[in-house]
Amino acid sequence: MKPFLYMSLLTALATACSTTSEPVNVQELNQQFITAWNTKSADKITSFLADDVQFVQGSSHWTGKSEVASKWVQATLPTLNDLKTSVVSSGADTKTAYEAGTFSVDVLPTSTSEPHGVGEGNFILLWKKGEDNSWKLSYAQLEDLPVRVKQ
Amino acid sequence: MKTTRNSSILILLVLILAGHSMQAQILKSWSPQAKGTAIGAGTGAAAGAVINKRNRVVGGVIGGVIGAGAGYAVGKHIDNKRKKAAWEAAARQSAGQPVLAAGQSQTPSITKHASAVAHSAKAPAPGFSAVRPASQAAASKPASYELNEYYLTNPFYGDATAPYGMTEYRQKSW
Repeated sequence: MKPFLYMSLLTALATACSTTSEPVNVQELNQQFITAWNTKSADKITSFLADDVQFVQGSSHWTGKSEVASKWVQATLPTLNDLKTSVVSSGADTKTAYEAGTFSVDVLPTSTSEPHGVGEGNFILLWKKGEDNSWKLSYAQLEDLPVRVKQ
Repeated sequence: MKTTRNSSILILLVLILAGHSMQAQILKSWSPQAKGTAIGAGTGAAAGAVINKRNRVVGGVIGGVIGAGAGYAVGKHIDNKRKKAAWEAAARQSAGQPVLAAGQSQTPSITKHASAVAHSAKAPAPGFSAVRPASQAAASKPASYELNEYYLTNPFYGDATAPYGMTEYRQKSW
């Protein structure tokens, strides 16, 4: 009986350990992130950002949750719809995970006289696991192509 | 003796002048500079020979060199004038092309595969300004890549703190 108990305990311990050290499902993580953009949930997007998140786009490089939330998330959220990503490369381990590829998005007009636009570009989202075991967006880089008029 | 020399010089001059029209035909394919140099050298040599009575050969050589230089300068001036006229004509022709948005320069070309060449350029909806890609301006000249889309102007143009603030066309989408 005793050996059986020990074996069970050992198995349970090993299972528990392996669960915590499993790589994150980065596809699901990004899916949640993109969904938050499409549902216009600024708070949800911001909650994904790490405190020391870095954002690079064109000539801009913003650092820190508040700056990135203000200058990227809140400034961009009202201007877009229907964000889609197409993953070209991804990877994950127990500490970091990333997805990179291309994106497309509907660009809303800034005035009534302007037409809708279609934006495309390249992205990389790098996630890191925090001390509280939650995954946060640590680095985001976007490279946008010129916005075309939607036909 | 002196009379014979003078006569031969006169004959030479007549020959040069008579041959001028023939030369003109031959020189048609030459550049204006080359033409000027040749004509200047010939005329200068003859003039030099006439002027320097003591030594016709030296006079001819000096006259030829000076004439060649002067002829080249005249030819260069003509060539410059022609190039300027051609450039102005090309500028007038390109000014006749339809312009989408006044005061907007053309965007840098962005590589896109094109089926674009086959597409006809659609006019954008009235009431907004869109930048027309450079490749569309040269309508009759199909390129290996071409753009047939119009791009939105950048509402943040001139704002150096914006991610793409220095591009005339709108680039930020996400």
